[in-house]
Amino acid sequence: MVTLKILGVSFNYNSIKALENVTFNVKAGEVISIIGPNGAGKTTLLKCMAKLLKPKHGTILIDNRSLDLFKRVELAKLIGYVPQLEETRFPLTVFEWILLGRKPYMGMKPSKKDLAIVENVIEELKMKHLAFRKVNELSGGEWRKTIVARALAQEPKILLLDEPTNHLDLKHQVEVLKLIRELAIKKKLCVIIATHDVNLALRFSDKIIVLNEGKIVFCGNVKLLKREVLEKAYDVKIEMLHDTNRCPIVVPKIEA
Amino acid sequence: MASKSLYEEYEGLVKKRTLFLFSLTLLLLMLVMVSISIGTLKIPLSDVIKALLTPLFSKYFKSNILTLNVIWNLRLPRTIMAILTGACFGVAGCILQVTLRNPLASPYTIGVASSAAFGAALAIILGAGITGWGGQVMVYKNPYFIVFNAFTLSMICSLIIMALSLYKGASPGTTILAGISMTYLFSALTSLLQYFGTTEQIAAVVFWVFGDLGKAEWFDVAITASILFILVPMVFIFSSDYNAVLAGDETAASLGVNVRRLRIMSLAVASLLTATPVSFIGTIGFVGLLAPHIARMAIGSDHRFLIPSALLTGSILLLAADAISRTIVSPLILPVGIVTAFMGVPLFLYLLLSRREKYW
Repeated sequence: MVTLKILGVSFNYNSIKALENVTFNVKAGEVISIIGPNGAGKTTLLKCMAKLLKPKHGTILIDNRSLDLFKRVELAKLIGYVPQLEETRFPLTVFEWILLGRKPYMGMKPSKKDLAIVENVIEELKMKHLAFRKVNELSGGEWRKTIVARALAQEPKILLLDEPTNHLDLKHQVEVLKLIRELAIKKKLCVIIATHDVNLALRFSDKIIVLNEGKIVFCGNVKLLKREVLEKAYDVKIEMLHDTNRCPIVVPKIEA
Repeated sequence: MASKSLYEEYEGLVKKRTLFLFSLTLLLLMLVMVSISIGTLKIPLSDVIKALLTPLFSKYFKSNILTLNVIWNLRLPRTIMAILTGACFGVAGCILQVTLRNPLASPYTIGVASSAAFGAALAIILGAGITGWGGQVMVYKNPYFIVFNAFTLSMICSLIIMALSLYKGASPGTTILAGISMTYLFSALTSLLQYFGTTEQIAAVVFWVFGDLGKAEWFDVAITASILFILVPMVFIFSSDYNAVLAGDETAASLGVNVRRLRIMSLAVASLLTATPVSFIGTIGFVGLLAPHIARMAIGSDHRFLIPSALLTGSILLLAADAISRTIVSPLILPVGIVTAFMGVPLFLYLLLSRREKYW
């Protein structure tokens, strides 16, 4: 059972503050969504957690061991990272792209186990018909799913997803997030999702973090999220409804 | 289709690619035979085989001295040098295109051609070399004076590019810009030297710049072969790292790849692979750019297969170009660099335009 602790993390891009004293914990089996306006620091936070950026202050602990002490390959087996944007000049097939997720485990040649895992992930995400298509011939949504699939093939303990549902239609949004949720519970993963889709985040997460100007303005159970917090963060009037499970639904008020 | 599992389908793909590599090897071997037999003196294939075996099994085979001489002292070093050079360029182009994430990258993107030319010009015009001021005599006294100079200058150039690139975090963009600026600098330096040279010296520099496989001797072959056999396995070990880099620096890093180290290593390997043959025979264009693309179109971007197939494609391209350069206006031999461009560009455009699917 893996635990993730983010302790007082701050980060600057030169003189611009991106994160300020961010602290929170993630337990195994938990899905946490980070929401907040553009430029709030969501992506920066995920990159710090993936050790792609080094925090200016503070530490990130995996199982109470500092991120700095992990080797790249060690981390690659622990953390699956889906970046906001991925593109390639020289395309591989979908199967090979997902096989990249097995990179930390394999030498030069993928083993039978690697191939079996990739096949499994493809079937779980219902992408079998795409498996041998070149990745540059995919639609935006199919491409996004391929990248998520690669992170799953990595068999990580921690999943960091930056806008995983970008470009996905309603059906596939639900499909991907449902699968991620199930996996989180079944395989005891820590899942951290950065997203712009507030309602999807509210629907599929255990905890919500609202970031604004690099600071956490809310962190807690979905049901405790107050309208005022979101209004202030997004700087827009909001109407908050509730579905039958008392899960909030957020709609921006548009003044005529 | 539906009955086949993905696993089987992938294995099928692997088999197909292995078969492709095998047929490329076969094609290359056939080309070698043809290349040795054709030329100003036409040697029938049976005599070629006999002459190749004569020194090894002198009991069983007899060949006449002329054939033996032509084959062992002229055709064979030339042919093998063509294979090795094409292989070096193919692999160098391949690893540069992926690590610099640019389909336009070639071994010359990192300034090897212009810096080697400057080194040669230094030797030819000033008689100056890394080994000191030898004056004009040096060029004639020591045939490797020019070679050594060209090699040293291209190493200096690629070290500068690597340092500049590292200083700025080794991103693909800065590396390419550093390479382009060094190319311009060394071209300007060569022009400056030529401005002060005599007509004969300028002509010598221009001829040096045209790649000419006829310069190749057994010593050159041995050095180039050892560079190739040491460096290519080293690069090949990293083929899954190169695959990961296809997905971008951040993704590759999240998959456990040390991207900066891989990029700098690739720059170093590519510059050695390019500078060595270039120093011996001069600059030959297009092979390093085209071979990886042609290979990639045929076999996809998995570097486990792409690196060997770019190597073989490079060899085949250069060997074919050399065969044409020796026969098209025989007995005159055209510089092979001109033929590679004339042959490679239409071939490349044909492949590019005839494929329906998007390529990059």
